Amino acid sequence: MATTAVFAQDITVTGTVTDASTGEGIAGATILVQGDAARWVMTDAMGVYSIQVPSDGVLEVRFMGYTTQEIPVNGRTTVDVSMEIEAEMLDDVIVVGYGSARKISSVVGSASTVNKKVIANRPTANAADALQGQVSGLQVFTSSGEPSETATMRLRGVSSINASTTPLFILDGSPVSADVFSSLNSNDIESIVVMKDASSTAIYGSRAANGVIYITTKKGAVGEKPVVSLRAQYGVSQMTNHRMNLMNADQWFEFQTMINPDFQMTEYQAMSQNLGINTNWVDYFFKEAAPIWSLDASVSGASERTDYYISLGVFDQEGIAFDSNLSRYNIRTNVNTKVSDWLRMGMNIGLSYQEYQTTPYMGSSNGANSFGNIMFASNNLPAWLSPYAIKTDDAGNSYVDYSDELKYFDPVQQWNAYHVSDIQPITYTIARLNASTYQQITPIKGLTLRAQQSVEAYDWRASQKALPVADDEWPFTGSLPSASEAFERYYRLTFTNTAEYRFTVAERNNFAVLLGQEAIITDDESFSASSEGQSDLRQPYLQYGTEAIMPSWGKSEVNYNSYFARVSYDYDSKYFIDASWRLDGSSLFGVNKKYANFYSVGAMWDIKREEWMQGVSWIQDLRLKASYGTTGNSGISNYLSYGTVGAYGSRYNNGGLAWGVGTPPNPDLTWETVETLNIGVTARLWNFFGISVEFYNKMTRDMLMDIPYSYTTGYASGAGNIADMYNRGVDVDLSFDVIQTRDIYFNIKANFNYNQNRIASLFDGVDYYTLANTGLRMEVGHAWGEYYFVRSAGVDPRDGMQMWYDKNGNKTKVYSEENQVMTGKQRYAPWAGGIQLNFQWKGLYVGADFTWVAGNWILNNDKWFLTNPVDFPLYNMTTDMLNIWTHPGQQTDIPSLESTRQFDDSYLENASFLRLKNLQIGYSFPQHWMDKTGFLAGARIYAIARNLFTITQYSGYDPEVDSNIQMGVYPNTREFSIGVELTF
Amino acid sequence: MKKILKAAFILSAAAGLFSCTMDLRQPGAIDADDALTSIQDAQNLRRGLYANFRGAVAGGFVSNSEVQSDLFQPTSGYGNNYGYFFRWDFNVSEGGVEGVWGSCYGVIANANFFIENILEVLENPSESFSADDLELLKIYLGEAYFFRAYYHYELAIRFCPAYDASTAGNPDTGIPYVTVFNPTADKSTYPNRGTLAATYEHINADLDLAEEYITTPGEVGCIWLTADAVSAFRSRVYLNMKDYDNVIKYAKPLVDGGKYALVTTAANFKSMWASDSGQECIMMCDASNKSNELPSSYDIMYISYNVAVKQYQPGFIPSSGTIATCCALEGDFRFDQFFAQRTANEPTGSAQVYLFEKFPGNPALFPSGMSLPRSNYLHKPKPFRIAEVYLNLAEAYAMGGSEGDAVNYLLTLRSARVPGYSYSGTDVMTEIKNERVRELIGEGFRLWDLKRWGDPVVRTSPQNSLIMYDHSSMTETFAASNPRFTWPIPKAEMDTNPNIGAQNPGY
Repeated sequence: MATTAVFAQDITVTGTVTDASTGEGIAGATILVQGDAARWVMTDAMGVYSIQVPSDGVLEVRFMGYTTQEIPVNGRTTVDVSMEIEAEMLDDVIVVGYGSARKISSVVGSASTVNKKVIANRPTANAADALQGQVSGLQVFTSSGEPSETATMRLRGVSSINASTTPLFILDGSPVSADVFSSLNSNDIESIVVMKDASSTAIYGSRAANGVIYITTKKGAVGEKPVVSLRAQYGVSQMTNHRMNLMNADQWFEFQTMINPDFQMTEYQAMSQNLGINTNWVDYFFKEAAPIWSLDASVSGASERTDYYISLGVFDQEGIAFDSNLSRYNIRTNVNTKVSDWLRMGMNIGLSYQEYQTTPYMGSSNGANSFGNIMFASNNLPAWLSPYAIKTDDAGNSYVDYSDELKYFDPVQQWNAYHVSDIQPITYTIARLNASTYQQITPIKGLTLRAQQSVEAYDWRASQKALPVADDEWPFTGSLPSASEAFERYYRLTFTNTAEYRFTVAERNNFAVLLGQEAIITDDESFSASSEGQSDLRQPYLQYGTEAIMPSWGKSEVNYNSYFARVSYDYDSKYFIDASWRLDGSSLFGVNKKYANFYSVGAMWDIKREEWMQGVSWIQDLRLKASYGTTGNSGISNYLSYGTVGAYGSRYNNGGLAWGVGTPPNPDLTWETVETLNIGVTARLWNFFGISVEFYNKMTRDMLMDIPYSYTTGYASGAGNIADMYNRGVDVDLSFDVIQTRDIYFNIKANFNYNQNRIASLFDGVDYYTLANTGLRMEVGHAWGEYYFVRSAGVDPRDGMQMWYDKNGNKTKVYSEENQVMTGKQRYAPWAGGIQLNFQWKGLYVGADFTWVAGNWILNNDKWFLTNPVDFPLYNMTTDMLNIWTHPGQQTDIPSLESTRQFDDSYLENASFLRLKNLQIGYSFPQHWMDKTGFLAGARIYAIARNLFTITQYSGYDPEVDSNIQMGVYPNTREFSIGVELTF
Repeated sequence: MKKILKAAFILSAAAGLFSCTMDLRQPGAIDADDALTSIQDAQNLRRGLYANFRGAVAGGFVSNSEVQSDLFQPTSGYGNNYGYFFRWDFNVSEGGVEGVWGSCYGVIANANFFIENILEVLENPSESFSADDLELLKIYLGEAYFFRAYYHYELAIRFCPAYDASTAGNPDTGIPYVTVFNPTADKSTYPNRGTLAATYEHINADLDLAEEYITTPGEVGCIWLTADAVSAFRSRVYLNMKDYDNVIKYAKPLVDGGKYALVTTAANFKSMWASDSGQECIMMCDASNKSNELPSSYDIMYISYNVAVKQYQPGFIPSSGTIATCCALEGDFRFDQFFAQRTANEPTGSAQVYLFEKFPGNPALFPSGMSLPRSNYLHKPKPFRIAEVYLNLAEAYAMGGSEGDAVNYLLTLRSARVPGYSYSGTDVMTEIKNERVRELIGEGFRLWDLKRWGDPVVRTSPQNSLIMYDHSSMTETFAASNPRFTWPIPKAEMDTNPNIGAQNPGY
């Protein structure tokens, strides 16, 4: 048999290069013939190419930002190429757990991304506020209008009763505390990924039970020349209104006459009425428009080997209340450099310094129900009282002397909150460092060894004084002027070392194996000192007191040692399987339970990639996923597992130490485990409608309970891992591209979550446990946070006495806690969601973000004071009180004076709300204007309103307070801001 | 390639180094298993009990029941402080009730912990304790028994019906008597109320041990427990048990012994309270103006002088009946010391009334820089005074049928307080009852005295209704049969302790 040398024949190959995720043609992609540098073409505007190739040649297709492909021709004349976006190049690329980034469409777990556009420019110091309503299943609350307020977050219901319910926050790969959101410059954030299910979170082990929120800061884009951008923003904050109508002065006097026919005005009240005084205390105490401004500058870019992002930021906000403000300075430097082909390293360093004050007497432990709290004072001071002195002139006529602002309101025997606050200044400062460095080696193709070292550290100080003022200006009978200085230094070091190997077997079997080890060392040290007896206003400091108080010092350490692994496999990007495991050890837990295992398995099927789906043109994307796994919750107090004896603060006999028993021992104390099952489907249909639905079932086991002990043990309670609770529900995300043309883009997104929470079992087989003085009761089969109250049954028109329902539904006039029932009303919202509207027309952008929650209730404790004329005779009242029962036969819901007020369910109010969280209008000037300037690359102006309006039935100021009870809470504010952004 | 491997090696070696200890303890916390290793440890634990005692002699142990009694009435500016007690409408989850219950058992747990540890050392003394140390340990042991008895007694007078030998054996009339330190969630170990008779048997058994071990001789104003303090307390306990022979057994030697002389001048009497002279005190707790050695307070806004506006703004003032009782004896210097006419300014008006000024505040307990009329109204707690022992003794004689002796001891006390006094009473028991008001007002005895005697709380008219709280309970009479004379077992206890037994009737 003769052998013939066969020479390949040149053929013409044509085809289209498309983006694998969108299916759209890619213009300008390069098609090379391997081994022949001279032969190459580029695709046209539609992504079409045509090239002469040997029939056994190999095409190489390249396009910036996409993974280069090598395709053997094998004699074909048509070769269509679908290009995958290079993982690290794209917005919707995320890091799930440890290891390298992946395209979100290939992530088996459940994760949602919020991009920088949503987060930037919000007129609040707290970047988390912007997440409200953005991610299905994530509830975010800003509970006060204090500029330094941090947000609370819960993912997919409340998964713990006594341990933390806050997600784990990861900043650029290392764990950080929740207050990172209020210390970060929101304009430094590139994206925030919210990871919900076990498949994406189990690798974080014992800290991930409440989900993981992964924050990535910006970096310079590859190929970018240095870009300088400047941004300035200015706005004002305003008070929101409430819906409890308070009496004016005349109504108050009328009311007094109603309840007491013998009512005699005091001399002051008579003068006040003559002068027509009708003080609006909200106007008096709160600023009408408190300024808020910020300035940012950043430089970013990349050279061939190094990318960089450097920013400076200043943020300043005054609260609408006095002594309520925040100034923040931020510096961030993110640099990555490729030292050689096999070595990369980089660092992310964020520094911030904050100085803030918080308005005093907020929070029930600080005397929220005192007149030092301006919210409380605004509600309860009567309108006939004037904050200015009422004087009498020589002719005997009374007048208001507006130059004489009173420090003490004699007619009601209360100090002016301004004064009380003025003489007790307190200032906080905090310097914070979030830094990480990494070294990454690629010894062989596919293997990445990475070591990351991170530190989160802060130095916090509080400086408080009670200033020495004249005797007649000193409100505190039992105490003296004083000064105190408190310090806290915190650090958390995280060392993470990972090895990841990616390889492909038989072309289509893609594997990624990750092994890792992590150590976390946390140390929190605090110190405070105080003295009293300062006597000179010029020397109100610590060392000028006459008596030093014993200083206090404390140290709290927590360590973690962990090992973890993950295996990911996919077949041709169609079938994905993912498994992870983590062994976590923590110093928090008992001697017998130091280590625990967590794991997850997940699978995904990308149905659209099946051959048989290719013809179905109305479906652009269809994926099914399911996962199951465990995560832990170690968010409990430190040092609970050892039995101790400690020294009391008190001493006896000339400073002799006094000891007493401390924590009871608990060698079996361990973490809570959350088992999560997640099943989801994601689709994009008709090229304009996107939908994602996920069902989940989260079972919290071994829940850490503060198990009530019999008091006879000497303890009210002790910690133990006892109870079970589940959260099950559904997350739905919808997206409609209503209009999508060259010039106009209009998109509506909506998401919502329904979560059903039920306590599955409690300690010792009991079915219920009532929490004294909270109005809450844990009951098996009911939601955690369901209110347990005696039900009001109205007022008996015969005698004006309040009636209640007893347990059997019969009316009674005797109030007894025996008649408390589960009301079916919950403190945690089972429904929540958001709606986002985005409209773009050429340079004009309008965006609106609505957020809502439904089905949650709050105890309106403010109402207690405003409807209780016997206990609070000089307080202002709501106008409803004018309907108070005064005579037999009168139909009313306000009982007579003789009827003692009780905390029944009439103080519970539906706190569901819909809030326009954010409305933004921006305009980017056309590019050709920029070109004319010769130096500007872009210019944009915008206006933003925050909390523009709220629809709710809650009658207090703010339904967004994340609490079961509201009393004198500083409400969320409404902001209007304008800004300008320039890039060079 | 070599370089790469080297770097990879360094990286993986570094990985191994970064691990940290899992055994972290709170700095300064003593391991409970190692809490009694020396006499210093014992002294620290002993002082812990005394610091607890100082904190729990007055405060909630006095205020709630004084307000509930007939002695004081709230003004319109009282701000609903102790309002539920005043109106007698407190219920099973009242914080003041639960607070007293919880703090009693808290101290009891500490006493039990100490007792168990001392017994262990006494059984197996280690070398670190000398023979003298062991003798001291026995005294401390006696003190711990005493405190255990004391707090069970404090519970019994509040949470149990008045002692009556014929009903004391009824089930669920006592309070759980706890003698072991065992903090646990295991409900099967939780104790039962038992009978009141059993409760008092335990109290007396512990006091027998206290009597045996506390050999410390009595001393006027002693800051530690002494043999005399044990006797004084035993007379109080037996009086409540209506065991008059035993009252006499313990009270008479104290009274007759003369160590604790009654003060007989207004000046000395004033310094007993105003500057805590310690006279007449069988025990007076240690306290100082250091913020960590402040005592619990007897004051419930009796004076509330507002320095800034120079006004008296009291929250509670004595009722007209209290004034009448206290000023009944002509020349009684206690009245001048305890009551003063002031203009009280309240939200609803101002009026000239008597304020109760037994507790003006000891300037030695003021933080440095504070001076009268500014005051923190604190005094060193005086748990056992000879005057009470006199009254216990007189009552025991009166109830036991020895009226002559009763009159004698009453007379001795009165003569000390009322210069030139001559006895003119008719019913000696009535006189003793009134005398207890005059002598012990504000010290937390009144409600439990009425309960022991089976007398109602009769609220008399307020001194001036213009400045007072406006409520029907101001002048109400609460019959001796009113269930709220006995406080409810706190709901928290009923809920957690399945063995506790029945709730008190009426809740």
